[in-house]
Amino acid sequence: MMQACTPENSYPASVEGYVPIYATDAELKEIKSLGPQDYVNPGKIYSYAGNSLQVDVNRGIHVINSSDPSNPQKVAFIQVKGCSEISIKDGALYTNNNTDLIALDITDINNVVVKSRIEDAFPIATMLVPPVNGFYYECVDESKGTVIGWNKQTIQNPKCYLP
Amino acid sequence: MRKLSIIILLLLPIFWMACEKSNDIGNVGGGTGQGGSTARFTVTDDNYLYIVDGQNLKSYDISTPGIPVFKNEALIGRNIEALFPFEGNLFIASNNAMYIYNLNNPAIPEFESRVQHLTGCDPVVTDGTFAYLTIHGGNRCGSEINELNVYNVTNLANPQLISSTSMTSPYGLGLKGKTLYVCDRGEGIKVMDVSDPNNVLTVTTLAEPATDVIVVNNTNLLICKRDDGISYFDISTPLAPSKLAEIVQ
Repeated sequence: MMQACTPENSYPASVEGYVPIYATDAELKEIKSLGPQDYVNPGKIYSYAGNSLQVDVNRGIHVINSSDPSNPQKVAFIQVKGCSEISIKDGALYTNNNTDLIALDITDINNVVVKSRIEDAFPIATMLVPPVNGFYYECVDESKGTVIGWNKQTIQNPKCYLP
Repeated sequence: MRKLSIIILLLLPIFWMACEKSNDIGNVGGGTGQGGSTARFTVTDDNYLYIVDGQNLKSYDISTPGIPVFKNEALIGRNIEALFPFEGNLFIASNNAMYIYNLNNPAIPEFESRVQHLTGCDPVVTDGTFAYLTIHGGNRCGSEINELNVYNVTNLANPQLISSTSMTSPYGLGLKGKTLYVCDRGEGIKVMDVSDPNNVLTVTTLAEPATDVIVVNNTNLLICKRDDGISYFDISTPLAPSKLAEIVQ
């Protein structure tokens, strides 16, 4: 799928490109509360009951107590691989775990609980190609697991290109 | 009976304390949260969760928190990017149009109108009278257009373009009364006076590398999404925000 022709129909021996990051099904679906974490790739923000939350793209959700917004404090991190979206109502957090819609009970932020999972409700979150156009990439091998992100690095003999 | 009353009176402060405690994370209480203008998920007070996924709008009943029940999937159009709920309507932004759906039946959003515009990536916010939509170009977005459009949406079935203002590379935006905050990448947050929708004015530009904002309802708080973290501004004087804090690690 989308493994398009290269610009010159030839493959460079060594080039700056993207390599898929794989997760097994068990790794992907391991949702848990952790202590505060540093940012890696900060994403969408959310406001809920005096707190703010920020997605760390494909890794999880930072929980920040901002009831005193002049002194906000990270208080927890919810590990949700493949996540990009967030919405909260009445103590339930809705997010995407890759392409699945999941709902978490966050009434105890230090011990979140998965309440439900609807598989493939959010297919746009699929990461079968790199996030940026115009790069070579290591072709996806789905036998290695689900792609949950991409690393940019020097790659050898890539056979895929995203125009 | 009297004994019962006394017990209730004795218990009341505990209930009050419980309510106050609910604002503390660690024991999160009820209510509906609020996302930025680039959200693809949104929840409403009517206990519905809406998600936009490329070209479809899905609705889920969330009367039982944490247990979404699928209700409907509607084909909206191509390249849907964001949705913004406002008082019984959904404003939906795609890369070449703004759609308005009413939620008279929240399970099945109903088409009101579609306004086409030049291609670009484009979140939207509204106060119910006017809708503000930014369009930014770039190779993923299919154009080099960068502007802020204002539409009169008093007639949901027929929005009217009021004005277009040139921007550098606008992303997310937020509205407080007649003040609009536009994240114009490379420049900062443009603080705009929109009292006259025909002639929106940039009053000041905050040197803040933000890509989206949330104007938190019923507060004077502006929360900003940055590529390196999050920041907070006091907007008790809406046209003159003052920075409170940031977290960037």
